[in-house]
Amino acid sequence: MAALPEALAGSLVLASLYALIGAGFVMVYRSSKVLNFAQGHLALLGAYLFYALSVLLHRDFLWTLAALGVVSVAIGAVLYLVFLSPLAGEGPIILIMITIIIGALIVAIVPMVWGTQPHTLASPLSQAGIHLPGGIVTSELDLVTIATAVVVIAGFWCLIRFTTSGIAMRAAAENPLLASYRGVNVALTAGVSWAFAVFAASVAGTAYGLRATLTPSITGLGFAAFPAVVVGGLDSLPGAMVGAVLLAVGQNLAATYLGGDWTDVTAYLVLLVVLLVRPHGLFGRKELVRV
Amino acid sequence: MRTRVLLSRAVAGIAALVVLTGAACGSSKSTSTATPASSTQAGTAAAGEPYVVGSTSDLSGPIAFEGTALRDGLRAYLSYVNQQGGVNGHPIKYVALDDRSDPNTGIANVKQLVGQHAVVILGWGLSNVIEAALPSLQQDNMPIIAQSLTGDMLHPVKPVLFGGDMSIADEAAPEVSFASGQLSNVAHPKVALFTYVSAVDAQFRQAAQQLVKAKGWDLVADQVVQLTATDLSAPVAAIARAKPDFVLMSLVDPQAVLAVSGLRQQGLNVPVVNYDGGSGYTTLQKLHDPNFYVLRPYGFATDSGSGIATFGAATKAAGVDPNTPFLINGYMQAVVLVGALKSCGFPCSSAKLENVMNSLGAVDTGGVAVAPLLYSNTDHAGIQDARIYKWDTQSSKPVAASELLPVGQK
Amino acid sequence: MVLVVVALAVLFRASSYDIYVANLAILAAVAALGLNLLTGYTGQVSVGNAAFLAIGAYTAVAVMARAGFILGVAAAALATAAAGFVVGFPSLRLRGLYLVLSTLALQFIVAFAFEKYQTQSGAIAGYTLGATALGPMHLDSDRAWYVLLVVVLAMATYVAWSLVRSKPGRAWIAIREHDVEAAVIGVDVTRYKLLAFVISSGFVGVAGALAAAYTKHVSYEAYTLDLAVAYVAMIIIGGLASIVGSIIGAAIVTVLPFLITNAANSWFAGAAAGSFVQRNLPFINASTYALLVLVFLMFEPRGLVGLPARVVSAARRARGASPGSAAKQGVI
Repeated sequence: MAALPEALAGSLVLASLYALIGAGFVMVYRSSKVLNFAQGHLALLGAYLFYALSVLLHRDFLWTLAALGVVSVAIGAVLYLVFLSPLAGEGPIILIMITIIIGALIVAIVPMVWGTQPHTLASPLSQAGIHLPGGIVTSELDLVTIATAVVVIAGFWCLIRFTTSGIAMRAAAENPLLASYRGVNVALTAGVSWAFAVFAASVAGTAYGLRATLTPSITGLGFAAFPAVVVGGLDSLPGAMVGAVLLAVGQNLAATYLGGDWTDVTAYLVLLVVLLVRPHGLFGRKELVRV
Repeated sequence: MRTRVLLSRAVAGIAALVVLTGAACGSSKSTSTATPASSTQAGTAAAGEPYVVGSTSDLSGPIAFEGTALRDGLRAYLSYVNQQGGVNGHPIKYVALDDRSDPNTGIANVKQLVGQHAVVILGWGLSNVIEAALPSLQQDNMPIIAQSLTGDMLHPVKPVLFGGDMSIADEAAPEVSFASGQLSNVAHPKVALFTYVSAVDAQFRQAAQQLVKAKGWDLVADQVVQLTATDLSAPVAAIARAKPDFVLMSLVDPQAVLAVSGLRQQGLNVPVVNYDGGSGYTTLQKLHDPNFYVLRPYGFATDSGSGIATFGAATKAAGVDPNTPFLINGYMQAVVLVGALKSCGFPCSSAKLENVMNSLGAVDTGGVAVAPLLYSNTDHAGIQDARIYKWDTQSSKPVAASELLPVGQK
Repeated sequence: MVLVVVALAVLFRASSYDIYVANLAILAAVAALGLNLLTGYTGQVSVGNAAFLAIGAYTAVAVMARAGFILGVAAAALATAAAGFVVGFPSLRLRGLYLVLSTLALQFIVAFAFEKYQTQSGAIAGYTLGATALGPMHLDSDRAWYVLLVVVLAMATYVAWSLVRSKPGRAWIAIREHDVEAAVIGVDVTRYKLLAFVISSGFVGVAGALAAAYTKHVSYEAYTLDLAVAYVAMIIIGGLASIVGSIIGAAIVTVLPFLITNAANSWFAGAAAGSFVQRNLPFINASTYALLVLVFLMFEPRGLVGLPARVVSAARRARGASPGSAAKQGVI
């Protein structure tokens, strides 16, 4: 059982990536009932944007991050305005297909701009091991990744919880028609959600890219995070975080005790069980069917 | 009434399908009819008639980084040869097709290139696409020089299949023989195995397990990860806990970086050797680890030698980065092909080229390959030896770190 | 008549490559018909098509070598229909996006199972099937297969068309429009939902088995989520809840990439080696394809079969007739 604390510690970095990707899913789902299949592709785009901005800004890490925030928020808003808002009110299958097409466009455009050869991201954060009590080993990069995920998600959660625009967002998600009668700008809240989703995905993509080399084939992160969101509840931000940790720990235990090839399938078996037993997840709101 | 309307619509649907397919044919014919017309003239060997060379690889799918690099390497050398006056006075017309990692598209590409009278099909980044296309290739006597043949496709030799790189299974032996040199001072060596999930890589794993057992070493960890995994913390922790003296690896470039940096972070600083599918320049550069080794049949652009100089000039003229992983593999397929075309003469049919390949003998690569390649009617593998490279922090480039190591289980 | 003439023209004029692409399109059409029964008519959105194709193909591998072609296809249809029955159960509880997620789980689980099976049975690069014999006939050419597949597609079209015109079809549409109300008006929702899953996956299984026998190769890597998504694209482009739309959509999605690639290759044949266009042709093709699908989704979400109705109503409006006669089709 010596494996357990290490597996748990190792899971937190993965959980942070899942939580960032998952938070984007949740926000988009809450505001516009769209299941975003392009979240992993947006992470890929974000990582490449970080690379491009880093070159542009002479490898100044903090300025690059700030610029990435601005650019990714803008991209999110544009994606919503151009692709999603004209189709508001279409059925789920059309909306899912739109997100799939957005993903397909990203994987076609990224190699056109940056080529297919691997790139390395410039990072001031060390990956050297820091030994903590209990045999846990971590690194500067790991700690910063975890902290960033917590700050980004908690910050956004506070925003929608305690500000008037946040309350408007929740209203818009629950009943767009009613909310619009009360003067809530439904399109604006959906646009903000997309902006946040792209921002969170970009942070996740960058955090991954700083660890490995960057190639146009890292879109799997999106599908890996799906089960986390379902476990937590499709419409719950805290749920996405809890689901991310549970999924990452579960996958790490599966890798330790069953073998590394069991990670994906374990996640999706859990997803299937949750769907059958408690479709709205741990923290999600039950959907009512109105006759 | 309604019935008839529905039925006639269904008929119209099928007709539309047929017409659409016809349209697809139309455009392919515009390219394919041109070639038979010209190849009848080719009987009189008019100067300037081209050799048609095709390739199929994943140019837009999940492993496009490999497929496009193969294509860019091929194009770089074939353009270079054309600029030097072609082969036997004839230019080479290169047709690069995309199989999107899809076996059915691979088969379609073979049929299209056969229709265009190609003499050979190069590229081939996936063994399952090769397996799917094999019946069509054999039916039309179309030889291929392929990146990703399995051990079963090379041993014993099969018609039309020629190797452009080692099969993964053949890489276990040189990795183990390198390990045994490193472990000569260790009394009871403990080794770990780190591989990815695929039917092909399972062959590497089996071969390595057998070789480790034969050496009498202790296999203390045997971890497998999914090719798409973005997190390796659990298997890395398991290997670090087992405290091996040596790690034998076959992981692709991004995962190799995650694995080695993870192991170092856990405090495991023993030698690690990776297979050539994860031996890219960027990987070595990013890790710049004195104890990380990679196995390669071909050198790096930073090496020296006449062949490397040509490689540098050709890639520069083509506007591609010579350090792109797999680019040199595509380039070498073209080098082998041009050698064979010289012996084949003009005109050269695909069947005739296959005969030439069967008796080609040694191919001198001017030092691009670490040792001469060899093709005969009993050996289609081409590569006989590989060499270990590592990153040299002083000169900031990859350097050779071993003698020649024979590949396979010879 | 026209159909027969055109079909024969393709048969005798086209090259082996052309017929091969046509055969791929026909195989896709059979599976797309099945998916449209489930998604278009019954309203159950599924991304499980690749998994069902794989089940059909692997069953064919196991059965055909021993029991022959016909029994192999029959076994594939049965095995896939049984799998569809099992997958249908969550649909009794789950609707909309949750069902999409459960079929996504099916995709990952089936891919894992076949990968394990294939690795353990030592079929490194997949299974190769032998030549196919249909009674005394040897299906040894693309042309022979073309004839067989056209017949199969005609049969599949007839079956699908009969189904949607009869009781099951009406029940499916009622379930799609509102399953709770459908139950109120006396539709056995459980039975007809499961029937839709069983029949739909049976179609897909037949397509998977035929494709395996035709291409003579089966390997798990081919059955990707992208493939499943391509089938959803087919029925959207052709038209949801449309028999003819399924066939048109399958033809477009299958043939278009080849068409674009060939057209681009001949247009840009003169582009300098190493130029931007030359180097990025596959990505230009992929994005062109994605943009075309996008245009459809944004401007014609009812699919190609909705186009004539729209043109007609636009023409009527232009002539001053009352608009709105083209009723909005049920969109799920």
